[in-house]
Amino acid sequence: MHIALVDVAAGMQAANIWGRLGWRETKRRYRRTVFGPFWTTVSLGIFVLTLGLLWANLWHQDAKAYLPYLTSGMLCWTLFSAVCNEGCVGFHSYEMLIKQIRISYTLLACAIVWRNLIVFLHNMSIFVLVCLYAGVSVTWSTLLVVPGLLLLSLNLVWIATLFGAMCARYRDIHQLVTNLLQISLFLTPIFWSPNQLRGRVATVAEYNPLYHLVAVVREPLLGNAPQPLHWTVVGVITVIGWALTLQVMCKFRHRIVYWL
Amino acid sequence: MSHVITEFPIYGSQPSFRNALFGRFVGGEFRRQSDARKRVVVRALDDVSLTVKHGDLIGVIGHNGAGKSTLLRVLAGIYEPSAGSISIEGHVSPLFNVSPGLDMDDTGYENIITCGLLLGMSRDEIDRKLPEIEAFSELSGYLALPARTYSTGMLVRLGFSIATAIDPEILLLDEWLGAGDARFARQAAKRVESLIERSSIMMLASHSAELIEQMCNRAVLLDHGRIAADGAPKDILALYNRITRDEKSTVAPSVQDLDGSATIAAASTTAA
Repeated sequence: MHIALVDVAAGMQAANIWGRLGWRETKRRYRRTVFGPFWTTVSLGIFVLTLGLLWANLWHQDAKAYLPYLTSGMLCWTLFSAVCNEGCVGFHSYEMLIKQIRISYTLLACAIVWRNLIVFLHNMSIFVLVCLYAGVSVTWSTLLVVPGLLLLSLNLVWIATLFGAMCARYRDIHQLVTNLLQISLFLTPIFWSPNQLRGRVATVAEYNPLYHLVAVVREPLLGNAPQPLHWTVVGVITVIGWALTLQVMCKFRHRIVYWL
Repeated sequence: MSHVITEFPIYGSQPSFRNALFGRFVGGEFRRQSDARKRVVVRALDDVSLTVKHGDLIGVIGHNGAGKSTLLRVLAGIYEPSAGSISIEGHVSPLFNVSPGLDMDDTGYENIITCGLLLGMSRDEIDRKLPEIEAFSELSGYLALPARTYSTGMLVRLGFSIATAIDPEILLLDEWLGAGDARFARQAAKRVESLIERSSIMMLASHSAELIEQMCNRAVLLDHGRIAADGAPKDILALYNRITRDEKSTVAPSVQDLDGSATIAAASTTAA
């Protein structure tokens, strides 16, 4: 267990390497294109604008309240689902590297999370535009987006590591993850808000851990402080997730290279 | 290394067909694991015990599939052994066929930085050694162009310049002179010599007898995952030549064939 912890710590600390790997991936995706990373931003913007206005009308919501809510939710969700998907294929895509030098798997997970954080930051430009339109106020609580994002990223690293390890052995897990993400997108309050649900169904939202993961970043973006419940749940997820991942890595780390 | 066994499990294969096919071409031995899942495993290294000390420049030679690359990769920490133990004192610098983390779309300079970081150099160290790397690779203007535009020989020169700029303690080389012209080979030899002076231990896996004779002070013959012989390069190479000439036999010859300076660890067996 001690070795696993040291491995994880060493991996995370090598920020110069995973920073570079993540940045290089971003560059590679957009080499010789015109808009570069802003393509995903544009597509997200179109999605949010068209569907946001449509649904606001459909559900009798005020567009100026709904659009920022939808945008910030989508921003967080894009980050989360992208890391889940890329985490699954992560170790496969770095197979050459893993077989040439001794490298920490956590480092590779950090690279994956970092490159998606870069995309997140690009997508923020849409959110800023929406906020300007909707007149969302910037309060002191907005600063809480930094710890929120850090906490979310910490969780994303263990998710990427765990999924990468599992998918190295059983490739179907990627399919499973994709399907679960699709359903989760609708079961998590991204397109809808928990107070729209009536009766007992309303508690469904609270029992969904993804709701809290998204809320820690979404609420500050909207200028509100996240409820203590959100912080608590995310804290618990972080601890359990890392404990689980460390256990798995402890037992199977040395086998991963044979699975690839 | 003490009694190291490295087994590669093979997933999703048709066991009987693969057995038949591989038995002919690959050196590892096949075992069916006696657990419920009945996986096929390829035993790439079988009971390998090796002690390497400061100053050893070891050449590892053997037929294709004997386990040379696996041995080096196990020492590099890439593959952990299925059984047995390894104890290493000092930092290991592996230099295998291609630069780690080479990105074909990045320029030469960017690749130097990425590969350098992955090989364990710090950013300052890389910046300091950049002129030396540039000069040795002789790629000059090409370094500003993407690696896509390089020929294989140029990629080898680039990778080699980066890897030899490190200050290694334990250096592992795996058949690195595949490409590259004669002039480069001579210069590379000189650079490797200075590299070896800076390092304590070197292990070189190669098919080239001259290379091993030139660079090494000790040689190890691998056969089907086992160490068949270990001793002075001249003797081991003579043994290797004898074995390869005699195609049918893969059994290590008896002790009378060699003079007293070589030791035989175990007689190998034919593939299952």
